[in-house]
Amino acid sequence: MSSIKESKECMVRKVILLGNEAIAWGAIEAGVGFVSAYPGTPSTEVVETLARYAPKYKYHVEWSVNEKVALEAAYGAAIAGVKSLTAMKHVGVNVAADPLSTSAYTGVEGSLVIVSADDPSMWSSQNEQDNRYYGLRAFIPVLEAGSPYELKDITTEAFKLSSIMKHPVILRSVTRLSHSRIPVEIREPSEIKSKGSFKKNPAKYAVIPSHARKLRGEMLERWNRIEEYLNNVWYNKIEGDGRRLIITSGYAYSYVVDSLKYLNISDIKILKLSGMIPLPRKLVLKAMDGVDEILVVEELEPIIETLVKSLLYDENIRIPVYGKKYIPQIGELTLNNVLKGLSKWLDLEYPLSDVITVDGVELPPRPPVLCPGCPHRGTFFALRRAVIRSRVKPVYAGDIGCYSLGINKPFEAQDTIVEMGGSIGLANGFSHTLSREYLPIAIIGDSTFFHSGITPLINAVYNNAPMLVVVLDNRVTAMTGNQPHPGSGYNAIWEKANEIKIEDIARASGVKFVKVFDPFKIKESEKVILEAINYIKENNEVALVIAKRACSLLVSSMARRKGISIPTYKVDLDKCTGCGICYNAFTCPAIIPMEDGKAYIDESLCVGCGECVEICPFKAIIPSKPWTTEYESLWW
Amino acid sequence: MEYNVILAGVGGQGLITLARVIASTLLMNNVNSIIAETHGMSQRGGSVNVHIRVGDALSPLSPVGGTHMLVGLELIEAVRAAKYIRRDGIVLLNNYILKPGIPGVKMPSREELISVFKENNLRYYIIPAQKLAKEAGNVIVANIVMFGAMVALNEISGLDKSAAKEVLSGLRFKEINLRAFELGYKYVLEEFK
Repeated sequence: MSSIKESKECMVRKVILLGNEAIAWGAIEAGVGFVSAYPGTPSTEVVETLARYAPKYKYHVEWSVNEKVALEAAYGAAIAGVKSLTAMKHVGVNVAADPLSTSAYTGVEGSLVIVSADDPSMWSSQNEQDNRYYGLRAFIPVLEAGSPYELKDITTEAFKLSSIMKHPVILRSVTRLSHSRIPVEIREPSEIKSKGSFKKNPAKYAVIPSHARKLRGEMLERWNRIEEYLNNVWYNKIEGDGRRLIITSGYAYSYVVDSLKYLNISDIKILKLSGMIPLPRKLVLKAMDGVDEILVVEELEPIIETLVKSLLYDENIRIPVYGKKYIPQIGELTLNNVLKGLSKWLDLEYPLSDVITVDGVELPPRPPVLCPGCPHRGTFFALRRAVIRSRVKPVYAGDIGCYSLGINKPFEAQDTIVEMGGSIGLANGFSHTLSREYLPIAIIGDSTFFHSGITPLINAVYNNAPMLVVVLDNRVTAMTGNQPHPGSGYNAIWEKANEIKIEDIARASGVKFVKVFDPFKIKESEKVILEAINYIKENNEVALVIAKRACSLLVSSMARRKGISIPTYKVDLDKCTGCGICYNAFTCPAIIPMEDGKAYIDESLCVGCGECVEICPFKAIIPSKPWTTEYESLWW
Repeated sequence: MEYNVILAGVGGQGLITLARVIASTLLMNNVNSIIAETHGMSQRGGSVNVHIRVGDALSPLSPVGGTHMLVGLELIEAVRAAKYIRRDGIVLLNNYILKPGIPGVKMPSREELISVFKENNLRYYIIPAQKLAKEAGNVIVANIVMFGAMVALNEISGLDKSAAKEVLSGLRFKEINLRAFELGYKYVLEEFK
């Protein structure tokens, strides 16, 4: 298939690329020398792709421990004169906001491109914050493609702008850009420079107050030059003519162009802004010439709308400017809602009103679920049992990862989910404020623990906040597609790396009760968790347990790739009573109820974890294809 | 000219692979397309839609009430996505129901689900893709059976058999995929044409 992953002659061909692959390829063509990121949907594949090509083009690539470190590392490389890129999801920028906010004061020597992949409609996120605001408030220009087709070129433009101005640039993407696929023409990169040099210049790079005061003035001067620059770039342009003007921010352009085709309208002017922060005011004023009315089409917040209104006030121009009156502020743009907004504004009939209705059938919901063989299922099952047996009232402080799915039935073991590391963090507050009949249980993944779990854990030990911390260690950052992290023992290109053990960190942080268990062995897991709870009750201290088993999705796909046979189980129908524990209380997607209530295991889904064997009270689940030593060796 | 497609199914059924195969086939004939897909959280056995906009479109999402073809890899998900289809649209259905992985759900019957398309007088085709995929060698290639059926309908210009087979030949498990394609293709020709 035409993908850079699989094509050998990709350098001369037009290939189908994922939006994030197009961004990665833009970075390669721009000569990127340093890449660092923490994975997060919808940003992950930018650096995954760059990791794939790192051995060939010899730039540095790493999965950093979190977004703050990733940005700092890329910032450092850019100070050393290298072209660097860091990528993160929108909420990751919150984590990196501290260095981000000062990077514009100092500027850089090479270039620093910060890819922020926002998630309007919250397909895989806890909020839908609009990161164009970060550009505005941190004085960092924001570029965003006008359609998926522009992704690669806008990336090289981001590097160009950063190099010319010696200033960081935010390349904003969104789910629908990053996770689109388009045909892209790709070229060999001209020059990759991954080594820089360091010229001492503390007046610029050491922001003590006296330096910072001076740098702030220089930053604002650069900001003006950047605005001037954005008045004259190909990606900001005026199209068509008419007495009505539509201003588009980023990929809203693509919906406006498509909508106007549906409405069969051509006497309208479009100002396409793909470099919208800072607002190129001269270009906006030029576009307004001879216009009676303006509609700003932008996703999420009315940022450009507000800036344009303020500009008109300054220029003493009195024409109506609309935006969120017609275009929704909540959720992503769609052809439907843009078309609806334009129809209303132009007083035309909405052309897609005839929609098929489905009234007669009640559709069952289909939320995402834990995969067959997921070790988290065993942990949740054992945890719930231990909690019931210990008679504590659990407060499940959850976190961000696959195990967030533990919020669903039958486990319902995520009472709060806020942000990375928020589990242990919030449990600190629960522990000090709730009576001792309650037990705060912080549930956190391995990668999330490294990202933001260590500092709240130290806080809990230091301030003595008794809680149970359950670390679900599936050896990789699983939710985003199995990237290695400091506990995996591998680096971004899957070479052996230093492995940092969670149990060592916990002990070094002062936790006295630290135990590791295998969640495939449910009874044993339950015993360890119960022991931890009793320890907390007796000693009023933090206890930490680690459920250690690799992600089954990763292991089963490795097995398939290597041609290793995957073991499976089956149901002995003579012993099965149809009690439903396996499919109702354990809910493995591979176990399906039959008409008579007895269980059936779909062997094409089963990965042989064997967790169900232990939970069946009638010993009705038996191996149908046994484990092999090769399969055993894949789990680490 | 634009032609809008929506693929509906369950995470893990190979919807993204199907979309990539379609886009690659179109590209062989110099036809552009934009795919929009969902990754991350919703992929774990959840309800998934993949949009494909063929031709002149610039934006990534197929419109509700304006989509020319709906390909349902699972019947519940096909009905959930029915709002996308135009009155004169075409519906291609895999005759397969997958129970959601949560306890105690009330399941609609096959007849109820199919009646949605019947009562709305849509052109719909039911393909036994699971069965044909097993015949081809592995149930996992049901997506490619549906691809064969799509190509056989000959509705999308640029989606032709020879380019399709060339694209499939570049996949891992080439033989099984080509067999699955042929079975889906033949099924449509024999049953519906």
